[in-house]
Amino acid sequence: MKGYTGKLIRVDLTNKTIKTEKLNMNYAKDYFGGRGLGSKYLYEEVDPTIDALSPENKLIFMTGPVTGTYATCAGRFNVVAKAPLTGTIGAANSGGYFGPELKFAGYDGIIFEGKSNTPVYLHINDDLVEIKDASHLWGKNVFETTDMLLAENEDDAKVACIGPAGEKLVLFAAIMNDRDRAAGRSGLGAVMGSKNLKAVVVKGTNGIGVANAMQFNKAAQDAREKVLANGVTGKNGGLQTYGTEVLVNILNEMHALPTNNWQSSRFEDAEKISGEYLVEKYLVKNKACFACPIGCGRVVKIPDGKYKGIVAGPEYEAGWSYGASCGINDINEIDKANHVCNMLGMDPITMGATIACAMELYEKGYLPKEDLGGEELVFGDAQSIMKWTEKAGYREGFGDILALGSYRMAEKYGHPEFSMTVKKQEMPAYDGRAIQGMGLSYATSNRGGCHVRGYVTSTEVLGIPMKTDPLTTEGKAGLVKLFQDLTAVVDSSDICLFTTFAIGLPEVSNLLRGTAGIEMTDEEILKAGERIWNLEKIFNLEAGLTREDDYLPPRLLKEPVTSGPSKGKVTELEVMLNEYYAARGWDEYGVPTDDKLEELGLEMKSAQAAY
Amino acid sequence: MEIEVRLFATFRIGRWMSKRLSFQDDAKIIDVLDYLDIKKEELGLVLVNGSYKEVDEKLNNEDILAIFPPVAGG
Amino acid sequence: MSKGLVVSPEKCTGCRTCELACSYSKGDNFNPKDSAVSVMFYDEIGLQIPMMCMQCDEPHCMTVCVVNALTKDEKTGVVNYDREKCIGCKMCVSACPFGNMTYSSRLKRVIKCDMCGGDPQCVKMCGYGAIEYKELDSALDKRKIIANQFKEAFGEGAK
Repeated sequence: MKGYTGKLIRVDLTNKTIKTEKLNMNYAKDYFGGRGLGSKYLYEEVDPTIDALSPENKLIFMTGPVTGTYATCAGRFNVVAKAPLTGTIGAANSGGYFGPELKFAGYDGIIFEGKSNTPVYLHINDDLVEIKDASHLWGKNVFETTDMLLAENEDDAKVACIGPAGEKLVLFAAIMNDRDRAAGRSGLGAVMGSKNLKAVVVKGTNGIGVANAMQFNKAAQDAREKVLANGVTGKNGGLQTYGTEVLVNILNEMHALPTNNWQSSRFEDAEKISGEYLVEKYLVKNKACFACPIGCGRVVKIPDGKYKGIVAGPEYEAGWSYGASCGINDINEIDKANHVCNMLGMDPITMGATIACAMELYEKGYLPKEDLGGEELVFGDAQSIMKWTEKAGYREGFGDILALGSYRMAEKYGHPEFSMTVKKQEMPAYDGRAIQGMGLSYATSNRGGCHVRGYVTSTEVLGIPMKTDPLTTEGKAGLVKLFQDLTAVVDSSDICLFTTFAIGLPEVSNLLRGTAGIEMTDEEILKAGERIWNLEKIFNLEAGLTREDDYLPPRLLKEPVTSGPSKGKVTELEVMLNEYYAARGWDEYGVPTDDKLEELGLEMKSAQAAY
Repeated sequence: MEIEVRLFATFRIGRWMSKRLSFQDDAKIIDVLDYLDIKKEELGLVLVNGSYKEVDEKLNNEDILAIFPPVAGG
Repeated sequence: MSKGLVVSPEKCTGCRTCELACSYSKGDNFNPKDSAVSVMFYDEIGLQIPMMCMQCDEPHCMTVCVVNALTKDEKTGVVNYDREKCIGCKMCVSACPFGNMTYSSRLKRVIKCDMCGGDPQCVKMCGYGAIEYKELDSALDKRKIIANQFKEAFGEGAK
């Protein structure tokens, strides 16, 4: 059984028992690995209606069949659980080195159940799997925790852990691995914190074989050559040279860069938060995840202040959430705030966007100064972001409210309409009014406002692999569906989504066939992507979400863009959503029809709430 | 006619960020690319006043032309 | 004249593809622990360094090997390892001043770089040009390679 190790670790934190079990190959056949396989286990084992922070939730780390090989960018893993920020299924994808190391130790994944009565961590060294005391680590930040765990275990082990934010159940806490990589979105760090699970330390010495060496070698070489030859992903290409923040100027030129909590779509000082500017002023070098020839990661210098040193730089989304979205033009201060997110273990997209929302509430007079401890919170104040990020991570003062994310915060002040969220999760850095397809993609994402569930920016803005008109709704339902299904395949093989700027379904399918011996056509593999998407949707329906949750904030639906080529536009969601449900084979309430369920081999337990 | 040309990412290397340039009145985007010695195969996308355009389209006085090599992110 | 591996730490991004290429080409599976090259991480100064056997002109590993399992090929410069002769005493592991000899108790053999018979797979698979296979003039160049690594490390650290 190549590609897979064929084994899972199951940890009952309540009773402190550890079992290893065989991977369910029937699941693996239909869901591959990573996001899909993790979601299948979650759906089979967890009641979707539970409280995400209760012991009944399970926290699943899952690698894919390609993870750990040198197939391009095959270093990823997913964490799956019911998500506390959104109440939806939560699956977050991370790079670094942790995922491959878990496979080298001999396991495809880990399922954590229950809740420990005291802080613990899991230590894995090949066949040795043990629950260890973590009282001395509780309260420590991500970097301290990582250093201490490496000192008390194997110094070449890999660590995934939570920081203070996860411990204190910040609703958008992340699970951090290899110091600065994050399973970032929808609050899975809080699930880990709710279980009193501080960290997972893993060291492995076993090899990973492939099912069909000739087929794999050919597929890996083909994918690699295409990635390296591509202008975006290749050597000296856009991503390697400027990182993901190279997007800032494009989106700004299009007037699609949400600014001041989405009050406008163009940021006057975009240049100063761009990838070009970061490279010129602060870049030390590039850093890559495991087996990645792209190397988009930024290592940056913080030249001043209490975090002076060399740290991981922000991605485009974090650069935007703290930058344009807060009206801030100081990339050095953004670097610091992003660093604090890594240190305390939080999603910087939601953090920055929540601060931006608080800024608007303050500007409009809905958030009283006394709640801020007598301080101001205004757009453009670069000195404020690091401070409020620290306070949110430790839940101090107003940080305790920020820790709820923008929806619950704005609701508390009586104005949820200023929260730029879908399913209570903050949308990232592409204006869905100027890019209609992204509007639909946000609205229908199974984990709430998110860009990596269906990145149609690729065609709508960048023209990869072909150009679509971002201002029309025509054809967007099918486009979004295709991107969502393909992305589900990529996330479940567990290679990096960025490879798909250069390769597509045929190449990804060849990798799956070569590593895991999966005997399926490209079409069947894409169909599995659709199955994964539908399973996630069914989880959400059974959790009580309805068509009303496939919504966008009123600002996108009612307040038109004020400048640029999309001036006067709102997101025409209603028409796209109807077409999308039809394209998906779902009824008008967004519930998969019996025909669709049968086609995909799925069953629903119950979705009465959806009607 | 006068247009404003904005260059991004690697196109700035050995060139500049932004300049106002004069072209004859019937100039097309491709003429500006030729002037800048940017080959079609090096090109990612071109925006005129924020809208995506093909390179054989004509320019107008006071247009803002933004030129990008292949880039993406997320 | 002999060719050798030249490492440029400033180009290394820490992707560890070299480790995978090495283990896969030698043993048909991906296992960094079986790789003759390892990437060392110094994240606090933003440094990653691929380390492998330097193919010393006067190899300490060879000197201490009592069964002549290690021999220097004067033509290629490679210090070759003969598994048949090796008795697994691990003296070479202790003797290497760079820690570039490792012993796999699972495989019951020494793991060391042999430059893949002149077609080093780590070089082929490195997407960043951080490991190159180059003509070297003399021991002086090899020393310079090591010195450059230190210079890089201390230079970055001093910033």
